[in-house]
Amino acid sequence: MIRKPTALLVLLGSALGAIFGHAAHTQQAQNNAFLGRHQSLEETTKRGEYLAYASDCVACHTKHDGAAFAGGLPLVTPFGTLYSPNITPDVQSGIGNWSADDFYRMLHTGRSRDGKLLYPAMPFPAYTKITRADSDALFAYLSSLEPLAIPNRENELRFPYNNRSLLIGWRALYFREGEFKPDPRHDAQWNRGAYLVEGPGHCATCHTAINALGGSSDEKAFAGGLIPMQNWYAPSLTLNKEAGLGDWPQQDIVDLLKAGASMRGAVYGPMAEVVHNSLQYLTDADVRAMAVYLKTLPERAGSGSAQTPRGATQVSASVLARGSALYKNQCSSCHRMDGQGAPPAYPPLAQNQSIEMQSSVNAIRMVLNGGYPPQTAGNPRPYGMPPFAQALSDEDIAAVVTYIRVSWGNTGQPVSPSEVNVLRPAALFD
Amino acid sequence: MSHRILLAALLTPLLIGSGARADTPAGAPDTIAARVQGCATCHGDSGQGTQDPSFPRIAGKPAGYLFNQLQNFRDGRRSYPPMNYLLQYLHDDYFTDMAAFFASQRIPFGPPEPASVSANQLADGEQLAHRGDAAHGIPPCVACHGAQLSGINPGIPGLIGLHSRYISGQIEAWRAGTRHAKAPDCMSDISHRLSDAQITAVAAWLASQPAPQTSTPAAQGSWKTPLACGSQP
Amino acid sequence: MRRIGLWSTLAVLGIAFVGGFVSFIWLPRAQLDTYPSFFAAFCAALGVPQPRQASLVSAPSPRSDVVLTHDLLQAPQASDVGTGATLALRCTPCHGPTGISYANSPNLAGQYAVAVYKQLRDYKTGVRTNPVMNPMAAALSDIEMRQIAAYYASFPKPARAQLTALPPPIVRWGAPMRNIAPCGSCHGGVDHTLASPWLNGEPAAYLAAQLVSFQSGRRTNDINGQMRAMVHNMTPAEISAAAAYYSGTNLP
Repeated sequence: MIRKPTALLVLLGSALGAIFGHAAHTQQAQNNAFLGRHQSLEETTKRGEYLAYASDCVACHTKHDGAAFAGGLPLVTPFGTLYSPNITPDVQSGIGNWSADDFYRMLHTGRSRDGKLLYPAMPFPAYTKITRADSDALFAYLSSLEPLAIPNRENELRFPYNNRSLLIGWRALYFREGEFKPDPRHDAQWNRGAYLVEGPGHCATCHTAINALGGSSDEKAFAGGLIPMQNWYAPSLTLNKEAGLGDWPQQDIVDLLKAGASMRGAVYGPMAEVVHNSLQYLTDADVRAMAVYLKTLPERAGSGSAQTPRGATQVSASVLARGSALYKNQCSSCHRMDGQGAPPAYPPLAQNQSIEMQSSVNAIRMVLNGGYPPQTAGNPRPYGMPPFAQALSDEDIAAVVTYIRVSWGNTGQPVSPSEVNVLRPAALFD
Repeated sequence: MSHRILLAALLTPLLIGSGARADTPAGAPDTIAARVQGCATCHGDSGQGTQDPSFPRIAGKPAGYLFNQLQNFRDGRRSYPPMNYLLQYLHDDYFTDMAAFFASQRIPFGPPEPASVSANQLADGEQLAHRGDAAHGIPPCVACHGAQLSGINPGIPGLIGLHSRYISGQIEAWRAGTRHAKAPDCMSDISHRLSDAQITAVAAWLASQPAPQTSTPAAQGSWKTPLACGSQP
Repeated sequence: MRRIGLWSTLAVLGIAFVGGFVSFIWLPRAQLDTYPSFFAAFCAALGVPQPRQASLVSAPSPRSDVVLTHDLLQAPQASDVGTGATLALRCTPCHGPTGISYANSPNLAGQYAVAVYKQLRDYKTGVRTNPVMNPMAAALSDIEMRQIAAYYASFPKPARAQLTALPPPIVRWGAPMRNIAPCGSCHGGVDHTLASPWLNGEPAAYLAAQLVSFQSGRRTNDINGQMRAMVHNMTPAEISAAAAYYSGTNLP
């Protein structure tokens, strides 16, 4: 039998508990609204860290030998040099004074906390697609980093590009604000892949041709383009003749993006950085989702439009002979006389889209500079290709690249010595 | 007769195996040697170097020294764009394997470089290498690099088999401040104490030396070096 | 009449006093950079002969064989920059991947092609000496030197670190009483004399070392001894100030 005082106490206790509990719950609910989906701060921070990998923030916001996320990397553009800012939570130089709202507005609208327009070296035209919850998670992660009091360096843009109000016009032409909207015609996996590719992954930023104003058109999205200043060609992801993935087995795409090497080829140049710093940290499911999405990109003519197949008969016999001899002596020990290579270690050259595509930039640069694919969990001891710039002349390299581009049924076009020559000064470092 | 057939049957797989080259259906050899073919066009396929004076011999150098250089190129403490580019996305554990591979290569030395300096200068170089220059605080090269100039494990390289232009270039790079080793950077100190004439002389003398009797680096700790060096614990 | 005489006498004395003050006190004090002491400047104003400066070039020195004309390197081949880029890889350990050394080696980015070419030729013949540049240049043919020069000239020119700093007097006005022209008269930004190198952005230690080297007569590949003449009467403070003014770099 419960006594009255006890009952009263119990009632009082539960009433108080309900009141405080409700208050606490409301506060928690507010926090959760900030943190998203009722996750703890720790979970959100971990999710933010994952998104930071997916967005590859560290690639631009870290100087070559500097602290991660502390900025200072020079981004050389045709308009001058920009220096990436410090995004650690330092109050003076970083984002220590920012709120989650500020951060979302920056990603979503391309405006900094103080209202100034961001130069599109920060790929906000892609990051605008990032959801509020993901933006908050990213912000939570960045806020959890050690604040580093490293001051920001002033941009060095030429007149008139140093005037941010010019960006108003640029934005009118090239920026469409808006979070990612799932396409109901496709399943969850496709939509996840689309979100990752179009949003955090910002793949179109490189894989689309950039015009003289530094903008790109939606119709040409993913259709390939030469990366300015870096002099690598980011191949079209839409054309099967380039890096279009329409006829790739899904596993090869996953291997390429996550491990950096697949049965079809390996990553090199700027894509090696992307795999090393970003894609290798994504889950298998996410990379698979990206692969699913990429395989469905419609074929589009871009800057690398369809070429007329040109067989070996249209190349001068002496060039072919020279190229063939060089190939036998320098290349065949790895890539084999039949061009099949030994993938994933030695990429095949026969029917290799990197070789066949209209732009000869990447094929020439591979011979000039060689390269090692990035070391990843899936490729822990990469096989390397040596550089030949110091050993072979322009004529020799043109001959061997021409030979490779037209042999074994490859439908590439010949290259000239001057195409080789102009790529010798291309920057090799970040 | 049956013995011969048996022998033939036993040996045939070996013969086929050794005759097969790149066109077998087998994949790439799963060896470090195959993986470091990325180094071959400059350093030779076993690290023995080439005629080009820009690229040093790396075969038989101490593994710790080679590891340090791979790290230095990746992290920017040494500047040479083709090396910086090749090593950019490789990690320390792979460097350990690469360094161990080249350290274990025992390749004969090529002929020494003909001297392009006067006999006096060569004598000055020999003096510096064996007796140093006490007046300017320069220890003899052999005091750190070994009596046969074959180096000491883990971090001090041998100096035989290098082109004079490479040696003078690296000393000058230290002097100008563009090459760095782990602090305390003893080669940087020494490079600042050397005069122009001494650098020319010692580089020419070293490059003109024939192969040492033993080119294996001395064991770690087998003697004490006069200067403290961050690369040599 | 007596009054006019008094005033005129006073006027003459006044003029004499002002003239004497200007000639024997004010001007000699302003020329203390030219004379070792005020007394020497005073005596020089009085007309006492001063000891002549020592002869500049005391012994025959090696002379450069490079003949500089205005059409030198004016017609580079289209392929020179590319070929030069690969040749210049061997320069990067000291001169940096983009021609900026970030240390005490001279920056070559943006340097006038003729200046680079002349120095390489002089290193090859040994008129200019350096333990690594002599063998480096000896290995280069004339065409290769032109290609390397064209490659480095293709870079943008570095700027000084302190863009708003006023030039020190030695840079701005030189020292005419000591036969020192202002640096900009040959090394100017808008125009320059043939083969005078671009100085902006060079490391201060390198510039100072070269000025000292000219002053001591160790470096002798300057055309007609002009740099040796310029630096002969510079003080150490002026050398430091000039080097500091031109130095630094704005590039990353």
